[in-house]
Amino acid sequence: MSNIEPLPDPRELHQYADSLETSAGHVEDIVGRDLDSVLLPDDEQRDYYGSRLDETDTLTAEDAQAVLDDEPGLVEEPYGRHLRQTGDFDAEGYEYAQAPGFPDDGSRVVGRAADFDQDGWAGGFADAALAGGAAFVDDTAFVAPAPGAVETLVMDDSAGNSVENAIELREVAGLSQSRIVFRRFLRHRGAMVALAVLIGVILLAATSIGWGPIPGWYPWTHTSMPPIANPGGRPTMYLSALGDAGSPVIWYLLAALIGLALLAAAIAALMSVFVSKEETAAQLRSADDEEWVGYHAPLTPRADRLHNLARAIFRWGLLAAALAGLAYLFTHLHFGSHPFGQDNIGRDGFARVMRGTQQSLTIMVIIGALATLIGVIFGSISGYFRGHVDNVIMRFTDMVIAIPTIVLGAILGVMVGGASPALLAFALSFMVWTGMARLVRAQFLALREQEFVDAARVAGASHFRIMFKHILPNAVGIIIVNSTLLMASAILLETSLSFLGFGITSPDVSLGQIINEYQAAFTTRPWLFWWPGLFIVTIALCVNFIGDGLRDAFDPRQRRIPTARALARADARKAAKVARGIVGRPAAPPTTAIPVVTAIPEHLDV
Amino acid sequence: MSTATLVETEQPVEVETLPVAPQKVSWFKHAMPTVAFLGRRLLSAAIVLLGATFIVFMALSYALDFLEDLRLSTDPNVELLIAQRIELLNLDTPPFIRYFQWLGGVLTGNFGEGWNQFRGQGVLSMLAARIPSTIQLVLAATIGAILFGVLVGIVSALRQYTRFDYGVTFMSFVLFSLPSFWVAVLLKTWGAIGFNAFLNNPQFSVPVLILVPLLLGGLWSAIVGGTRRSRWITFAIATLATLIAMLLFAFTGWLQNPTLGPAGITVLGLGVAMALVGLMVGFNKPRPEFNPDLPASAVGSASDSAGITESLDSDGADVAARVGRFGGLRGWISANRALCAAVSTVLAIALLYIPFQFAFFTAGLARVLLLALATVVLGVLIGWLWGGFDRRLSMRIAGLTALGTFFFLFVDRVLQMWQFYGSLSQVAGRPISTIGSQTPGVRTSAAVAALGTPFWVTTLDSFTHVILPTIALVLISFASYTRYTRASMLEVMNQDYIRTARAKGLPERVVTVRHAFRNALIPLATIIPLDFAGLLGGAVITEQIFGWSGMGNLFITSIRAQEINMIMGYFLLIGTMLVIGTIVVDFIYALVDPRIRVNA
Repeated sequence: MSNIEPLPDPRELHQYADSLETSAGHVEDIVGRDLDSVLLPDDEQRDYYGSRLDETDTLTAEDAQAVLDDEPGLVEEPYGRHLRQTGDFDAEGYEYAQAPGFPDDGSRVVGRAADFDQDGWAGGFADAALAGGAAFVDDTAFVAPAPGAVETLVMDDSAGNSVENAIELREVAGLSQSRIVFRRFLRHRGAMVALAVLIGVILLAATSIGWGPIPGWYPWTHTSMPPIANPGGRPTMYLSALGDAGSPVIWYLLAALIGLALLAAAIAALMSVFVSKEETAAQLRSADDEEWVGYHAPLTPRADRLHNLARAIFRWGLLAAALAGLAYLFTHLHFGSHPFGQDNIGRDGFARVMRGTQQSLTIMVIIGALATLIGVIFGSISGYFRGHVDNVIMRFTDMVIAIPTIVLGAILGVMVGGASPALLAFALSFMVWTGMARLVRAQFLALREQEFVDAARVAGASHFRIMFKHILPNAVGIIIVNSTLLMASAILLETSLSFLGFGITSPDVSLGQIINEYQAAFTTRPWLFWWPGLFIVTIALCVNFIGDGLRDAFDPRQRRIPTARALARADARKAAKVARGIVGRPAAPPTTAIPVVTAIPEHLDV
Repeated sequence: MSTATLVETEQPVEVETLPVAPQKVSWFKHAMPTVAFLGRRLLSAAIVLLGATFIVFMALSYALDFLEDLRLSTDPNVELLIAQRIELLNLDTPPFIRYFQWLGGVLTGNFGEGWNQFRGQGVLSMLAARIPSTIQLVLAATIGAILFGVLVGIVSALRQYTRFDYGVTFMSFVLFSLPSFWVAVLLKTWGAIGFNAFLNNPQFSVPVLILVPLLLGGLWSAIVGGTRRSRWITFAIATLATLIAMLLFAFTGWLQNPTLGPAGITVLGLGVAMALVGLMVGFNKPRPEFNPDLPASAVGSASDSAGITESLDSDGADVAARVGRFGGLRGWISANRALCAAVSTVLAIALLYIPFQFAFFTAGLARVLLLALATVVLGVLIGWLWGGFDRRLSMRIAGLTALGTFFFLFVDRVLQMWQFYGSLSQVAGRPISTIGSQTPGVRTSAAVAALGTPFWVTTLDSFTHVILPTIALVLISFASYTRYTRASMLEVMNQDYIRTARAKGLPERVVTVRHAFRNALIPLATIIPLDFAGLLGGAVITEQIFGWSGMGNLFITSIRAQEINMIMGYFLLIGTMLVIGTIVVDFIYALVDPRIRVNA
């Protein structure tokens, strides 16, 4: 079996389908058919099955069963496989289009055949539905009969009307574009975590040593020179040994032990599932199918239960261990008077890092705003007026691009030499706008050809109004995303220049300048440059992630994909329903008498 | 210079015409559009370069304070000195005029010279002196970043939405956010100082012995993928292998005298052979010997199918008799000639280990290159001897395997100097260096002079100096290649021609390597020339931290010493390279994508 290439996705098989009017849903359906029609257009597969089937031209029932036994992936629990598609689930992971078209589930709209064989996702859908007795209304749509009334198709022909899109449309119905984007952004987990961390960093920097009108709670400032507390200015922050703070050691030990034991038990259970003989061959076969997002490999019921149990234990164990760790941190982390250490003249590391963070954040925001403004103005004029104006502006942009950032940055840094951070940011803004200008130009070139611009022009709107009232709001997504990413590179540019001595210079403080200043002491006082570096990385990483989240949120092609967890919950709910007898359809094990064969569609003979 | 404005991507409109006698078109007419395009692009490039140099010159004139040192001077005749300085640098003339004076000099071949720190040194000679060391530093890093980035990007795309993919995505974000100067300083701390200390007492602590194998095991299982079972098996094997390797390193003292030896070279060479064969031909099932006398239909139906004889009826048995026995060793060799050729090449080179050592003993660079060539020829010859109907493929693979094996032979020979190198008084047991491009005094020391050739020690010396800056540069630059390759590969994998290739029944290896990978490289071809063009600019920050006197260092030193001519010369060079790079990109694009016409 290992020499045999796995069968291609049924998705791909559907590429061959001209129609879905007939279906090879059952073993009987492939019995007696031409071998070529049921097997793949692949010599290797044919040889394989050919040799298995004595090179006969037709399949007998036994032969078909033999094939199915040998390639368990072909054997599907009824409806079990192809209904595991994203389109079947709503935002919460509930099965939305639950078993549409199945005899016991009432008659429902399933969709248009065109949708199905176009991207193949719904192919098995159709197979299963047809196997359940669905019938085509016309050649674009079909309906499943129900014991009661028969609902016919109501899907209109507008763009994107598959079940999947219907769900998506339902989700955004009645919302404005900004609302939709905002919702999507809120759902982006990485961006949300990054936003929380960034806000935390900003709050820490603003409140600790004070920022403008905000009073600080930290005793030192970046200029104060208190006596050196630890020998060599070593950080006073440390994690004391267990039980050091007079805490009842036994509880921590107990919690940690429980956590570890649970983890170990869970790992053992997981491994027993994965490596056990219980693991069905179907699961082995379906490894490729895991790319089908949301598809769960069918396990045998026992393995499934064990698996779920192991996962639950693992989760609780992780939680217990994490709680124990947190409790330990809270009670045993001592900050002392100089948590980040001191330099050789006693200046406090934490205060200086906080001051540097303030400066770097200021510069980052100013550059982000100003460079965006310049880029948008140049880009919009260039893209809107085209012709000679465009040519001149674009050649100028090319000139600025031809100068490496660090070279121009260093020259500009020397020019404003040691001036205030605002002035430095102002100078740097005049070199990083180029990318934005080109993007905005491209957007304007495309948008100015649209009908709404013509309409505005006919209505007598001025160039200025068309550019900034009509076109610009349509390009705002790309502008926001890129100004975010620009900010991430701005903080790296500023810190690099300060490191080289061309940005913020002593006595003022920036994160790059701190690293530059303490560079020589990196063997004796390494803590002095760990922290500024960590803060640079944290800020840049957070801004990058937020930019990524914004990009996803603005991307109209973005699709929601239920998480594995949501799918698992939906599974569990369904199983519970089945157990309670609400849904009459029992979850048939793979070995039931007449399995549905969805991977060998009959309509291959085209 | 946006590509879209000058290179039109419109599809040529095909008009079906009746076949006419082919007209003879002179090569000149044929080349005319290209020449016109090139002329236009060069003109445009010249204008851009002119403007950019003007911007830089004006910015420099206002940024640099040429009288900085004199302002603080307490010299009694400071007035005179200032007057002299103003005269020397022509500071009375407005910068606008000075730019054209500089431009006139450049056009007549006079690039000026330094006045302060580089007094009396011509710009051209200064640049010429700095370029080699910059190339030594940045070339290896750029190539490394491209290779590594493309590799990770492809694996990440093939394993889309897996933990590995998410991990790579996260790592790319982290690397995008890393300040290069911080990475470089940390590398100096751990990669040099810490690692040197570790080398002197190579013992792993227990947490390291537990964590590192587990991490590597997880990484390998994520890369190899497959079913759950096979992922766990990969994890177990990789973890155990790492653990055993680490224990061996610790207990045998291999790290103090890290040579490969014939056995190590054989193992690594076999690895190269397997990788090449796996990528280029795959491992095949036994197949019948090709017999041209047989009817094609008989061969065609019987090929590529193992064990089919058992199920053949009498007709089939007849066919089988004509084809001859297959399966077994002979059939296997017949199906895997490339593999046989590669493996025998590795074994042949390993058997020649001792002669190679003699040849290496007094070798210089020229002889090493010659030996490499000879080894490749040997490999090609072995491939030819294995023959088969796909002889050229065998030759190619065997040649590449020979090159790879020779590389390990070379590494082994360099590493043989490790202990000697560490014992030199200039090195003093701290082989990984943090400063400069070579250890002062090593090349001239008596111990080195006593060797048959200084080549191996100087190679090792260069290597220990270049390794850390290279790692720093690769770390901060490979993430963008990874993202780029991943996106491009994902797009290609969704194309119709990939589906077609799969539908034809091609193995996934062929689909990936031949159909997807090559097309995924097209967008990369447009950024790589620009990166190589920017290469001469050097790595300003990395050179600064590692005390490397290359182009970046020249720029920083010049700007601190107000050497305006040096900076202009530096910028003129890299600006020209970048502008040429963009033109090259357009041509490459037209070359690899026939839909684009340069003459549109």
